[in-house]
Amino acid sequence: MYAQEVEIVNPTGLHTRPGNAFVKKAKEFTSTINVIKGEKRANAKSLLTLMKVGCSMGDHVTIEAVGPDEVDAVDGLVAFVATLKD
Amino acid sequence: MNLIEHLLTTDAIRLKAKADDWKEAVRLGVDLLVAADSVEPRYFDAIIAMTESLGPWYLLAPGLAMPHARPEEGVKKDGFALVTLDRPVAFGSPDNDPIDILITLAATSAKTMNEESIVQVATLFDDEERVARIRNARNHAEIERILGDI
Repeated sequence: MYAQEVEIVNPTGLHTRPGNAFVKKAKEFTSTINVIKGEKRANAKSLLTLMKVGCSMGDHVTIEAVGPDEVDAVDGLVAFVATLKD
Repeated sequence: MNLIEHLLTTDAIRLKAKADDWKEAVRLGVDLLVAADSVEPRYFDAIIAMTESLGPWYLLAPGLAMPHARPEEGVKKDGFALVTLDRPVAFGSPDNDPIDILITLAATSAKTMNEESIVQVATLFDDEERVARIRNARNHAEIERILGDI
């Protein structure tokens, strides 16, 4: 398992359009990936569960992956979150 | 605003409706919101235009869509509409097509949309058995029972 914390910096957070883009990015990896905010966990490959958690600007979330490309997945998604502008 | 209370009190529900394509499906949901005085008719054009330029970013899971546009595209007050389709339609997303349940959303601010409305919709549908019951519901009384069980 590999995990990193990241701050959500874009105004829309991981909602709707950025959330959909995040899920698409997550699906590029084979590892199981979770987004954790406090007590809540979302499957990074499911927009439904990600929307349920609701990650907004200023939130600190942990991206955690288990699998053969876990380091690439977490680093890739952390970098992706940092580039969101919308 | 509470999603379930809103659906039941405004009666913004159409079950087993007929739509030939995704645009007609979106139209059914927007029509309910127009009837509830939640959006102006131009909200439909905004959803279609955004979908055509960005793709259907609002498909939450297989079978399940949550069409919406921005508050400034004619939203008058917060609202939800539930549409289920007799025959599913394709939105052009291999991961989620075909779609036969639509919750059309309107919110007066992006913050309400993201932090309240969408969270409520996702919470409602993150239960496969409940989704199956909604998909199969034939009349409002059945929907009321399903939503009342929550």
